[in-house]
Amino acid sequence: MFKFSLNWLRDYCGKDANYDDIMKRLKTQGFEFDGNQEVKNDIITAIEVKANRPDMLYHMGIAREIKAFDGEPVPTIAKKQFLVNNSEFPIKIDIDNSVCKRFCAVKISGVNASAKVPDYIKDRLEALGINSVNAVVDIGNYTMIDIGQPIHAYDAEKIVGNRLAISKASEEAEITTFSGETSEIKTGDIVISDGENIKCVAGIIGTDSAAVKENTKDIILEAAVFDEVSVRLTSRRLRISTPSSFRFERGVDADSTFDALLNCAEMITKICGGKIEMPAFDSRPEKSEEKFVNLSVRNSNRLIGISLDQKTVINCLEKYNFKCEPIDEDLVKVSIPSYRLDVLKEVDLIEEVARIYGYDNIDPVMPTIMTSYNKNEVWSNMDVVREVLGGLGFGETINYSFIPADTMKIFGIEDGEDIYSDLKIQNPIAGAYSLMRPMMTYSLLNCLAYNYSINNSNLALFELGRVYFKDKSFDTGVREVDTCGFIMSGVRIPRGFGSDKDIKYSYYDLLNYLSVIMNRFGQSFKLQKNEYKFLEEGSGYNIIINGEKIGFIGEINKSKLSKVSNLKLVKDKIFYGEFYIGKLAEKVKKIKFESKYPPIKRLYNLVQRKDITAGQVKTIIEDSSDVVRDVVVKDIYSDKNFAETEHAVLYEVNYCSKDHTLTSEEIEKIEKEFLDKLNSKFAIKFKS
Amino acid sequence: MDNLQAMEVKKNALTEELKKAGSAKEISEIKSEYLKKYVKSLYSELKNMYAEDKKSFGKTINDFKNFAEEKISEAENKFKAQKSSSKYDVTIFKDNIKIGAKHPLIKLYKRIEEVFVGMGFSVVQGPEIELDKYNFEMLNMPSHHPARDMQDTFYISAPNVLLRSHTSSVQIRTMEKMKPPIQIISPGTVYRVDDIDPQHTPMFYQIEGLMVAENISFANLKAVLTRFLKEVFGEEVGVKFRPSYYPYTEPSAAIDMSCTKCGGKGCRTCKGTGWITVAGSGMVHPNVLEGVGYDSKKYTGFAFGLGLNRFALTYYDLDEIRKLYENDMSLWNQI
Repeated sequence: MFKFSLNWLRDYCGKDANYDDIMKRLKTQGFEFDGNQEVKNDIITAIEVKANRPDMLYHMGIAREIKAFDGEPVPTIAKKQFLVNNSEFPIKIDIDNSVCKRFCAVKISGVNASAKVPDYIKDRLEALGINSVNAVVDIGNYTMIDIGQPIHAYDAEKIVGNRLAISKASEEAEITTFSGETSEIKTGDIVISDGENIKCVAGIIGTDSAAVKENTKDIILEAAVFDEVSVRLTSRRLRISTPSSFRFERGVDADSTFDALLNCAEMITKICGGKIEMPAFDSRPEKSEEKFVNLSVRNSNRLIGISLDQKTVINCLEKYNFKCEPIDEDLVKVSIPSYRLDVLKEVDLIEEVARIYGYDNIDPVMPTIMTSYNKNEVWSNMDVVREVLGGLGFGETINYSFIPADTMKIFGIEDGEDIYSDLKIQNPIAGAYSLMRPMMTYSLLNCLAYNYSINNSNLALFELGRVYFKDKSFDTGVREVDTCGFIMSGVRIPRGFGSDKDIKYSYYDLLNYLSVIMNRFGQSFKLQKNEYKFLEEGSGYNIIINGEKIGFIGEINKSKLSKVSNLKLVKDKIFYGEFYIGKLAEKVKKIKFESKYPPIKRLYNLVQRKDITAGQVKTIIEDSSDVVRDVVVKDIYSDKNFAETEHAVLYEVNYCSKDHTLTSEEIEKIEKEFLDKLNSKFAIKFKS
Repeated sequence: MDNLQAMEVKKNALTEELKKAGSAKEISEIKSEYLKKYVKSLYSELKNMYAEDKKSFGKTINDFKNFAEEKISEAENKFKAQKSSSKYDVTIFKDNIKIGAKHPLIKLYKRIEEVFVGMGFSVVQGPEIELDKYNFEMLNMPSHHPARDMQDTFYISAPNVLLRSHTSSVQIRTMEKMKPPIQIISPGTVYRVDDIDPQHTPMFYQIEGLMVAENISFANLKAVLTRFLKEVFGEEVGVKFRPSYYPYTEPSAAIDMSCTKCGGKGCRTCKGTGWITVAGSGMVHPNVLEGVGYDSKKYTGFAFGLGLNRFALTYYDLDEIRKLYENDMSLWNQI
């Protein structure tokens, strides 16, 4: 973002330049309006400037863009002639060329740093949020915001040993900045030191020890270009970002540094008096060279999808100060202005052509190349699960992938268990959002409890998301599994309309929902007891398909999880399941026409021991005859008339023969057979 | 008391009795009392009258009869079941059968997915925990690139393993595996360091798209993305492309859509501009194409990305972005 002053911009664009016209031009060229405010006969406007356009972080740069848009000559920094002789410069300056691209300095003697700062400078800086310090510092800042070159001034008398060294710090040190705060310099930070201590964190902030104060007489004025990455690293480490470091990180035009320095020096002498001493200092290891990039008009047209002729392309670019010279019918040799640090390759020029020609002027063309659609199995399985659970009344949620750091401890999941994880974020926003979840249980419990806390109760919820496990066989070191978690608690069918009681979610609903989902995919599954401690004892089962665990179900052990906030608001039992989507490849089931003879249904109300499963009973019934089609449990029941260890189970058995209509006698024979067997094996009998 | 006065008294008495009557049976008793017995008695009186009085008295009896019939039938209707009424009261809607609400982000996403799948794009997923290489480096954002500032990143193990800050990483992984032509969208959750407050969350849902083949152009990008926005928001919506910057595309374009709330007139949602920025896009940078081993002279392509969360606020008129992850079911049930 850059804030500019309308009055300041009018120095370049004429005092009658219309604000709305200026904004329209900037917007068209991709500099988005980001708010404005009126200050003392001026308008301060913020525009969005992306990292590729540091030349738009000062007023002259903005003026250039506006002038170019109108096809008028663009403003330039006044060129200055001045004697340079580094060896005769009063300060000996050593430079580590890896951190500094150019370093220019002049000495100004006899300045009056307490001179009154002209109102226009003070007003403009203050309107842009830069506090007035003293005339010298203010003029330096003014130069930066005006023509883009950060300036630093030292009190010449405070430079110990008449020497400065620009380098990476070789030892740790504490500094007090210009603004009075202390900071720790670490080795590798880029600093400018004299014979005694650090005078400046290069490109970022000056220290107090050589700061220009009201009583300063002689100054060393510096204009430099520091290495982008070095400034960025130091600035990030120190957590100090200044208008100067912001510009250095993005790039400063090294071709203008010397001229900018002298422009600033002259302004200082004009306002504060004093004399610019000869000679000046200028060190630049890489000499300035005009940059050229070749542009193929054919490539440009191909990428943009238009058909401009070479002349039009050249006109576009020259308007924006890119000098062009055709090489042949197609190629153009383009000279890049030194301030356009972003233009390095042909594609950068193509972008300029598109931008200058105008995005609005490019006609849309539907592409003709079409690939064939590749079905994403996991993705479409998620859609199936979403449809099924949605249809069953489950509401969809999305929860944060990171859960509290101590979740494993709270849930009693120990290292070595299959849903254990210690995969944590190094810089979480808070401890409660730091562990990458290895199961969705916490997320859904938390979500359920939250809903109870805002009076949404009796809920069935689900989430389709990821769980994460450390796994070295993946390049990221993490296996991510698309997972569905579902949770339910409270009343499923409220009383009324024929039902005299609320019907609550039960463990058998959990099993029912699970089998509906698995059936939808044509998958048969088994359940195998697990030992998760966050599930009620005896309720936890793993879901097994083809011998592989694909998830688990159970009743939440609420007393164990009292640390989950608001969970105590959920008074009813909570049932939970989760399964991995990727394991649910859809199987096509065949439709079998079983028989043309009518099926017969019979109900058997049997009293059995609780430790004998319905599955065991079903197997015996199913195995008793070919004509038994299926066995369904319709109810289970017990009351005080039953022994503690017993209950009644109501089975419905469907009989059907392929070749004839079954008679009562036949069925009674089969019945007798399995009832005898059930009785002899498990002491099961009819309920009287 | 003459007959006329007596009849007025009877009228009043009838009205009172009907008011008090509480059942169809009582009304039928009143009916027989007034319309049968009393009227009969009046007629018998009529017989004994002189011819000249008969005419006017007869009219008076008729008036009384009409009055009584009208009042009684009114009262009867109160208790009579309507013949035209249905067997069921269709104004009763039980609410214990419900379809589960989809998450608003997913609901919106599915609309968008439908449009792109319709244009032949395939849906590709990728890891959320990513390598720096796929999230930044190969997207033309070497370490210390200032553009990384825009995407403050969560780290699992700095500097190499992080939570993806955009789903562009999926594009790189896909291009590494496949040769052009490529036409994909990559939806999913992405992460950026942000505290949870009404307008910020550290996690959001993003869709990115990529189309790479020979001769794919910026004009193609404009056509595909304009069609997308018009299909989701309606033909009347205005779409504008303006220059922008992303390290992994060039030329780059931000996509603005006329504000759906005010129709482009300017309101709070669009900060008075009439436009809202909905997506970023651009031609895939040659460095990115070369990085995955494509010949950037032969193949070109475009990429785009949009964050769904802000989009959803506009779409559903929701005021807080945080609410998207609070999952308040009473809100979801409204859409």
